Amino acid sequence: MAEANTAIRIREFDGSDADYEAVVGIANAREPDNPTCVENIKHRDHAREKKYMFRRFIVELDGRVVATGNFGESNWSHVPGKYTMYFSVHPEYGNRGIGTATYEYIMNELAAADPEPTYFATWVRDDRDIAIRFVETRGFKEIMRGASSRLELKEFDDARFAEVLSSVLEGGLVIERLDRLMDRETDALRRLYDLDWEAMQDMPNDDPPVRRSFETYLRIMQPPGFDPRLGYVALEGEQWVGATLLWRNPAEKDTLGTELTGVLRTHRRRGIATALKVAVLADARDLGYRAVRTENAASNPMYDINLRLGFTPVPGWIDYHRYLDPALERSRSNERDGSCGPGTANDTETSS
Amino acid sequence: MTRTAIDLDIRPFERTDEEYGEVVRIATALWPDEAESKDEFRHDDENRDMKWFHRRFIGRVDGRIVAVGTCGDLAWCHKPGKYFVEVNVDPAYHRQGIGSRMYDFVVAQLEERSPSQLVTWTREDHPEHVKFITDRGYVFGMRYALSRLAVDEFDFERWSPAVGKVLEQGMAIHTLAELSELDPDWKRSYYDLQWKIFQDVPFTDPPTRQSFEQFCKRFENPRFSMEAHWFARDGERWVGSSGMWLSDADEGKLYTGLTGVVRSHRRKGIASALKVKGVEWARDRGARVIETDNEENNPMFDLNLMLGFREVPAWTEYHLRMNGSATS
Repeated sequence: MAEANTAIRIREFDGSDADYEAVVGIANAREPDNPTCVENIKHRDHAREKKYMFRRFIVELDGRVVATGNFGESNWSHVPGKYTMYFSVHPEYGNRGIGTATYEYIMNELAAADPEPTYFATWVRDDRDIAIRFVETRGFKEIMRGASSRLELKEFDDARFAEVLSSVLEGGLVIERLDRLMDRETDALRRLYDLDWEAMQDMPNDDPPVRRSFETYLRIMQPPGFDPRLGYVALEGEQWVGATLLWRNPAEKDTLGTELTGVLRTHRRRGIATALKVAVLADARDLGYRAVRTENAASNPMYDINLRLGFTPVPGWIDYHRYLDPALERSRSNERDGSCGPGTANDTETSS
Repeated sequence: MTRTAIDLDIRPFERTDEEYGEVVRIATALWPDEAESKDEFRHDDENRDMKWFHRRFIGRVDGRIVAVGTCGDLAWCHKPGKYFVEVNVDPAYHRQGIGSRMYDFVVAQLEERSPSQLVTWTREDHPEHVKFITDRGYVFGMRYALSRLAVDEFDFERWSPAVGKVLEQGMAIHTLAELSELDPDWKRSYYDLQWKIFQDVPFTDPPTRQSFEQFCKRFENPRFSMEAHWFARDGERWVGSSGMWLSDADEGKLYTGLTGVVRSHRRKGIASALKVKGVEWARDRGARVIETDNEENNPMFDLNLMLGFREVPAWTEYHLRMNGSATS
């Protein structure tokens, strides 16, 4: 193993287009069914809050990029001492010690991080046995599972859900497309931001979410991903009580992602999320999109709503933590058990 | 949506004092944190290189100026067939269809020039502008990250040694005022250096070189100071520059000009040293804040963040192809 590693060189990502293309090349080779592009990754880097440490790196073997990865502080559930890491090795370069060398590089770099690391978070696709074994043999423990699903829009028949929609409307609610609300209300995105945060707090997550600033939110809500024609809001009088928003992917123009669906706690179990989704899926179909993807925590009732709408399961993600201190691991695991008890069923989802 | 047809009277800009005042008032109402004074705006407008096409129109409602529409060549990266379009509407008159009317009018003025591409800008913290632009078929082109440094938060102790490190390598750092004594051909040296640096600034199209005469207009600009531009020289050779531009609208604010180092002299700490000189000068004159814009994947942006600049909402550039191709 050691002699195979001699030609491996790991260097910092330099922000050049060539390095962005390298990241995309590896990601798309690993996950051809969920393609990305330079524009997406640049957007994500731009939208990330700069106050949190985040570093990308490039792994070369004999001068060729064979793996890329990143590590840093979690943007969406920041905890001092928690560091996320993620890397992918090009499928043609498996079994050459590249993963091991990369993992050691990350651990070395993070050893000097301030604040000192207390635990590490990563995630692996649930259909990747080798990667699952890789993290589990290094002491990572499964924290939660995400369930991804996909809907072919030509098979979507909104007429089947006419009753849900009419019962929501009869309840006095109005369902309005986001672009129309933006034309009418100057603070439409501010209200969506508030609703998003309400929903996010009830989403199953590996750690409690941290509220991003409105400025950061606006950095995220930019084209081409954001398209207000692909969003719907449920209003009760002046109050925004629920919303859904699909997300465009410039790397796969006919397929949409799901950014968020959420309903205020006070308004759950009335079919509002279903009504919003039916409205947006019918529009997406009529605009000519082929499919919609969504990612939920497996324990999220929204996943069941998606299945009822006709979404079918595709490979999902497993979240892992590795604690450096067993006492911390025990206390964190107790907190999580507490927060997953009855009564926390919610109506939210997100995709990262 | 109750949208009554408002009577918008659109006419060419006539450079009257009233018009300049109103153009600046509307821009300030839209972008209060990037205010320019009327004199600054007027100075730039009157010193624009006349060889480039440029038109401005004023829209009035009941005699009051409420909208400004501008179009023209992009002087800094000119490409035949490519024009910018910019529409500013007084916020008190938003959501009445005025922006659309002005936009349609300005685009109609360009029609006889058969544009192949239109370019426009907004800031990412104005979703209604982003929507206005993308509703018209524009697609995202690039982002100019903006960052600001609070001068009193700058870590002088940590960064001031950067200047000594450059001197130790045998280079010298001078202000433009000093160089005007040392180099008889200083204007030309400055012009040539700027062009070398400018060619490495990321743009979506290749940059266009300013004429020497146009370049020299900066020395007449009240916001330009010979004391606020720093240069690194290796022997007689000018290898790096950084500068600060004053703000007439806000005396406590300075803008970073083009900062760069010729390729042969990069990774020697020169840009940092020149920027530190700038921040020290800013502190000594009592400035409160320094603002700078970069294309976000430019290494200079990372340098600014390292120095303590904080990112604020970015300007984003949008493109529209005019050959009728689909955009989604």
